[in-house]
Amino acid sequence: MGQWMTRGWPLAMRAGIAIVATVALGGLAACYPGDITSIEETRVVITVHDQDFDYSSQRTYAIPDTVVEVCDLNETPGGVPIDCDDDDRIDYDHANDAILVARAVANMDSLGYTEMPWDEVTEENLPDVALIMMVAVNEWTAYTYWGCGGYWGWWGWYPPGYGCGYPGYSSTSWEQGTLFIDMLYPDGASNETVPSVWTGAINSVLSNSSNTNRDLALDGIDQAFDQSKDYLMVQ
Amino acid sequence: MRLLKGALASVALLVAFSGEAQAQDWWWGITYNMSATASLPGTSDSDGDFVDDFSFRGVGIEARYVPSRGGNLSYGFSGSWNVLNEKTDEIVHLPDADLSGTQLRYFNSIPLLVNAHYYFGERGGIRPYAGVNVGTYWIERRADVSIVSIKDDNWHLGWAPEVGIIVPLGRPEVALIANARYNWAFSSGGSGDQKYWGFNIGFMYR
Repeated sequence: MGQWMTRGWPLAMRAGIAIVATVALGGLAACYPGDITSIEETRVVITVHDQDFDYSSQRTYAIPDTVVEVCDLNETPGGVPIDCDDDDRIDYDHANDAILVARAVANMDSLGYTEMPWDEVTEENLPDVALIMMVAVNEWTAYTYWGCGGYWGWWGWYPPGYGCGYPGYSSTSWEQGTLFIDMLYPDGASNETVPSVWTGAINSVLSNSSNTNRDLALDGIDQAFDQSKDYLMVQ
Repeated sequence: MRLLKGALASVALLVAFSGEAQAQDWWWGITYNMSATASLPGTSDSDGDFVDDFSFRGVGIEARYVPSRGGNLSYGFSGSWNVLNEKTDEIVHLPDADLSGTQLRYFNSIPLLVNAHYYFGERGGIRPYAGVNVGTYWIERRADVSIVSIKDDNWHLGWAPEVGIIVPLGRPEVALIANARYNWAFSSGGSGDQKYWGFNIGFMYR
């Protein structure tokens, strides 16, 4: 042991230098570097399909010209999101319905399907598949605890000395929108339930700009069909 | 497992008796660590390509005990931290679903290893060396998609063959070290084998 102490730095110091330097360098190497830098990067497109369904043999489709807004989830806890009174629906501006539906139509056409006008659909005259577009909006709030600021002085009934400045939470809220495109299969209906054979969900944090939100949705519709074209394409 | 036990026993013995030896050396070191998973050969299997980008984030600490000063063998331990990350738009394909969107992927690895090294060359000169590390790896893989985060973390047993070089820097107490390690952490907790290259450079001192 004595030898360690006399040769250069003491052992504990040498080990300490290594540890301190490692921790200091480690501070530069954050666990989770990188970040989302734009609204567009928050967009996610998820498509779900039925592996046993024969998409390639479907030929016709119909789609209503309105995007359906789902219920306010706060008004229907645990309930079915589309089964509620109009008063309990989310506040949604239908100004972009036509352009959103048109984009879905363009994608279906390019995949080889033929559109059947919605007003010609009857119980006796059903399309092979029907598309329904729905929109949902959730509000999220994130809280950040920024602790005890700390200051010297007199505050309220506390004596002079070290006190807690402005402890508490700051919060950030944002809205997140999801546009659903559901492909229903009328021939598979049973007990008044029509099965869904494909769903595209375009989810994004919403911008204050309605144009940005519209463009996010349009690009998302394209992406949903594009990543599903291998099995949706009519043969 | 036998190898791990042997290495642990060696370290325990050298710690217990090192204070009595007269011509021994403890070398300490800090290293700047770089790493790569799928961007280099040998790691491009399904569990190795989680992050493609080369990483310049990492640090390490080394301790090597040389039983006889200037000798050819050392035993020691090391701890390090490698952070690999990547921003990707790669589509994730599942059996009945597909997901696209910007993903932030993170691979954090903390290996805690015991090791043995053999040094070529002569005392006081440049010393190429080869060695082997065995021990445990704590590895966390995380993917952030939109506001959703998915992660798994596990302790893995693993090993890492290593080659490197030690270059004296004018004084007998300080040397430059540079090495390459192939880290191979065996599957654990539902996470498959994790493999990545490590390229480390730093200083050793005694």
